[in-house]
Amino acid sequence: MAEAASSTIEKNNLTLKSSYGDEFVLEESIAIQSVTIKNMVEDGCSSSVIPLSKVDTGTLIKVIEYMKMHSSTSSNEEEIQNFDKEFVRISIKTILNILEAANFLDIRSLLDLCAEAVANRIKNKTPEVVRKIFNITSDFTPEEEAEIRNETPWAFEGDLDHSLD
Amino acid sequence: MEMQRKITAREDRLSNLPDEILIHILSMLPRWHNKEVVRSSVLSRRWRFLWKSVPISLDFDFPIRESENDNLLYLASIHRELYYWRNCEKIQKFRVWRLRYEDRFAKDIDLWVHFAIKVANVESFALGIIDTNHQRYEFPQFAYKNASLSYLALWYCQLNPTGSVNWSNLVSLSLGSLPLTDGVMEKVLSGCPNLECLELDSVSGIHRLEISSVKLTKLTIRNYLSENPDLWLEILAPYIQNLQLSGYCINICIRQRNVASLVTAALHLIFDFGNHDLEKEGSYLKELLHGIAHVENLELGPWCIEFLSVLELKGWQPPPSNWKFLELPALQQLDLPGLCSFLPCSLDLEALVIDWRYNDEERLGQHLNFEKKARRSLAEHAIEKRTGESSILKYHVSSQKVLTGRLLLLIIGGGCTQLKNQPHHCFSVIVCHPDFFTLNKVFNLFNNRFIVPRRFCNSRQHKTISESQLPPKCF
Repeated sequence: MAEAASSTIEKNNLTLKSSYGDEFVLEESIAIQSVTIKNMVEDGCSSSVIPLSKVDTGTLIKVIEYMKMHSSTSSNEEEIQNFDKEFVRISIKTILNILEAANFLDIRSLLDLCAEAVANRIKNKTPEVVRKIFNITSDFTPEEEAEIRNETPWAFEGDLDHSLD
Repeated sequence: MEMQRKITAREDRLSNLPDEILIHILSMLPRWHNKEVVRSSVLSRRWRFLWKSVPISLDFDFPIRESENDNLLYLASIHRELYYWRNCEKIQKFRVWRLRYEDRFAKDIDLWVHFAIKVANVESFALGIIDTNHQRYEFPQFAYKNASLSYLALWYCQLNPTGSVNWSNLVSLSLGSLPLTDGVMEKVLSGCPNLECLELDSVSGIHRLEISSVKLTKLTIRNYLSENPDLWLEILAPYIQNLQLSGYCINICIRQRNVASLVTAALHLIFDFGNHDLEKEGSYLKELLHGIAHVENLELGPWCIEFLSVLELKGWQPPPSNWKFLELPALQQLDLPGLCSFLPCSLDLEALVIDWRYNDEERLGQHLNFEKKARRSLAEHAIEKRTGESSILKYHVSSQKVLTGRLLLLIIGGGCTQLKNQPHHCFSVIVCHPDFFTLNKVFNLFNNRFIVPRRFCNSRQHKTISESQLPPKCF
């Protein structure tokens, strides 16, 4: 137990490499919030650079920013909550980038944060608007769509938001 | 045209995510946005059936203090919703709360129970009824057999199973404001072979609670009402590991031999036998403490601590105990004698936690000063009382008034702004234990109860402790 405690004090560093080839040095104790990285460290593959071929530089910077904040001992719950709130005030494209990265890196709390942010963009919207926001193309014929709506007409009632924001 | 479609298709990154993530996103929609989950079926073929895998919670809280008409409208809206959802395969939770009951609603509630138990086969069902004119809803007989429920909460109903009960998968059962009998309780318990947690809140009529299942390890009793002051509730639960008593609880009888497996006990109860009968109250607490002297973890509420001081001033010494972990609420100056009476008889005590989180910030300022005093008197008391008593106990007072020794003392602050710049005060380890194992145990205990601020959890807990003001030799 004592060894485990002292090793976190020693501050081992890891190097993460984005798909663009940019390298970022990060304390191991921060990086292992990612279960994927943690498994690599435990399997002894962390001595060299960890290539993250699915994560571009911009996304990796955001992910590191998130992990640093969430491992900081000097910030309190309220500060972290405010940070999270600001963190997802970004374009839907960026959120999806981070969501994919969080899924690949297996950072549960970040995945939840982004999933919630996506859910918030869907909330109250008509299907037409959701399709526009996320570039979803309907591959139903109008007849098919009408039939689906008829299966659960109650779900399509009420005041819905037609705006794109 | 072909090119354009390709680009559009590629940009639909959301639909390209794996099923489980899309389901996760849909499940993140707030529970009053359930219809949105269904609406996703029309987005594209990719989304056609995803919604059916999203766990749905149907949650209905009757409006507070609304007119009768509003109540009837709300009641009708619940029926409507249940009709809509009748074909949904994955309704996980169904909860109706705060219905002011009258007999004319019995058939309506029957329908809800039928939906939960027979139609949707929910995992979690909660029915919270409020008493208005002493009429009681009789829980329907068909509902005593079900294999899908894992959580069931019933408030202000009448339980009276004519046949046997079979809730084969029930893990947690919470009964509130119910008149019970020993026979009904026995029937219910024998029908729940997988029950792990039993919570009884303001129940009456039972006097012998016999729990023989090995799996049922947690018992919570809140507000035990004995209709007759001479009748007691005897608890016979040889496999119970965790016992919580809170609220107004008198006439509860716990004997060590009946709760032999008990590991954790929390006494947050209030007891008042009327007529300022300090004698009776004191002996009630003594008996309770005697009954749980073998537990490892003990939490005491303010009422108990106050009484302990009364008992200490009367010269009573608590019985020798096995307590290793003791948690107390914020202390008043007058509580110290009661607390200190514990130390000499709790030789196994490894951790003492004082929880200051629920006090306001102004008091916190005073507490910081008081804390120092308490620290000192505790330390002095401990040294004074323990010196020579046990060779394992070696206390060392350093110049920072930090003690290292066998006892771990944690004072828990909270996310208080006053403490913002003094993070170590939020979680100051004043007397610390040299053995890391105990720290982990303490943390595990806390994590399980979700009261440690997030930054102290998981892998960071070690770091937090090692970075705090402790001298390195503690580890």
